[in-house]
Amino acid sequence: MDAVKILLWISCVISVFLYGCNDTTTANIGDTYFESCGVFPNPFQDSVIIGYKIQGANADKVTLDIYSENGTKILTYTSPSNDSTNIAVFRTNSYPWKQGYSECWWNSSSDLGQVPNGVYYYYLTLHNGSTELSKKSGTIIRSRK
Amino acid sequence: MIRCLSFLIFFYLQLYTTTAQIPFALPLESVSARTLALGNTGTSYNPDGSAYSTNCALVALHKTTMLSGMYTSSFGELSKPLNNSFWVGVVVPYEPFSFSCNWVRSSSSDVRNTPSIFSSSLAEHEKHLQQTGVISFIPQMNDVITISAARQNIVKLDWGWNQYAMPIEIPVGVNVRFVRSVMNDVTTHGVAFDFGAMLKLNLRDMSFDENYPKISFGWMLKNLGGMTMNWSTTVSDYSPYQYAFGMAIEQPIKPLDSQLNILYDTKSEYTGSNHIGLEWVYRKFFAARFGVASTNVTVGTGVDLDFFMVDYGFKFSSNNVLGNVHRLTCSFRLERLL
Repeated sequence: MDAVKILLWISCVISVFLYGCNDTTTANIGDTYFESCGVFPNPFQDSVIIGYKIQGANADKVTLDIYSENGTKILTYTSPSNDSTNIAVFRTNSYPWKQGYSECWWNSSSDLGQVPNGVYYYYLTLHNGSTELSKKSGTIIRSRK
Repeated sequence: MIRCLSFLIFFYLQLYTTTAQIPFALPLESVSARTLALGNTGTSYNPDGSAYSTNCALVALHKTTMLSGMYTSSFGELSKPLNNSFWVGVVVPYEPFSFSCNWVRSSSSDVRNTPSIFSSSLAEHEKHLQQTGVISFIPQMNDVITISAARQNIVKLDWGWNQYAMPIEIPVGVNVRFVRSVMNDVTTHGVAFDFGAMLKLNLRDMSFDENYPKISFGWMLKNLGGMTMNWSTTVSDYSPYQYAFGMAIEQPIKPLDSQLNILYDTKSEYTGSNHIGLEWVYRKFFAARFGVASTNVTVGTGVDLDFFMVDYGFKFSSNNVLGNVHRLTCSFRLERLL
C-alpha cells in the first residue's frame, strides 16, 4: 500500500516538474524579435549599458525589468515613457522599439535608492500591444571599487 | 508572564522602526521545499530542519536529530537556471535546548565578463558588443553559515475556571549568521544576529475537545542592529534589520484522518510583503501544499516515511518574466534510521 502511495506522490511531483519545464524566458515569437543582446561593462560600478538589436518592425514598446538575486523586482522601465527620474534611459537613433541597434542605460538606482553590490537579473521584453514578441535576459553584477 | 509580555511589547515596537531600502540580497528567502511550497510562510509553524531560516525559536520544537539537504534551481530555464543553491543542515535536540548548524551555498551561472568602452557613439557600442563576444565568465557565489540555539519554555496559565493550569509554549531562539560573498575579484564578509520567539497554545487543553486546533504566533527579527558587509575594496553595504510576524492554525480533521494547516506571514523586507500557506496532511504521511508569496503562486508536496522525508516545492513566476523556482529537500531523522 505504501508503495502505491509513493508512486502516486512521485507521479504528482513529475507532473508539476514537467509543467515547470515550459519556461520560455528567451522565446522568439513572430517575425519581430531581439536579434542580439549584450551588456557592458560587466561587472559595473555605477552604470551599465544593455545593448540590443531588433529584427522586424512590429514592436511598439520595449520593457526593461531588473530583479535582485532573490527575485525581488527592483525596477521596471518602459519605453516610451515620460519618466523624468533618469534612473534608466533608452538611447537610440530612432525609437527603441524600431529595427536596428538601441540601448538602455541604467544608473543602478531604484525607487528605494542606490542598489548595493550584488547580482541582478535583467529582462528585456519586446511588445506589440499586450502581446510579448520576444524576450532576452541576462545577469549583471554591480561591484563598486 | 511579565517577561512574556515584555517580549511582545519589544517585538511590536520593532515593527514600526524599520525602513524601506534595498538591502544586500542573498538568493534564498527560505531554504526548504516545504516552506517554498507554502508561499515562504513558516514564522509560526515549521516542523522541518529549515526552522532556523523562518524563525529560530521553532528549532526548540525539534525532538529528534534531523539531517537535511536541499537543491534549488532558481529562475531562467530548468535546464539552465540563473541561480543554483544547496543547503545542508543538522538539528540536534538537548532538552530543553535545541541546536542547529546550517550551510547554504548559492551561485549564479553564465555571468559574462564584458569590458568597458570609452565612446558614446551607438555605432561604436554595437561594434564593441559584436567584437567582445564571450571573453570570460565572472565567478560568483555566496556562503552563509548559520548556528542556532533555541530554548523551549512552558508557562502554565491558570484561567481560573478549570481544574488545572493550561500549558502555553513560548520557545525563544537566536541565530548567528556568517555571510561570505565572492564576486569576480572582490569578497565581502558579514556577521548578523537574528532573534525569534513564538507563542503556541492548544485550544484542546481549554475545551477538552479533540477537534479544536493548535494556534501559534511567531516573531522573527533578522539582522538585529543591521548587518554591514565590508567588501575587500573601499566600499561597504548595509542590510537593515527586518521583521517577520506570522500566525498558524493546525486544525485536525478527524473524519478524514488528516490535518489542515493554515499559515499567514507578514514581512518587512523591501516595501513589505504578505504570505499565505495552506497545507493538507493525510495520516502524517502525505502532504499537499499551496501558497501565495506576494504575487507568486507556490505549490508542493511531500511524503514522510518516519525516518526519511522528501519534499518538492515549486514557485510560479508571477508574470512569466523571471522564470520558475524548483526545490527538492530530503531529511533524515537519524535516531529512527540508526
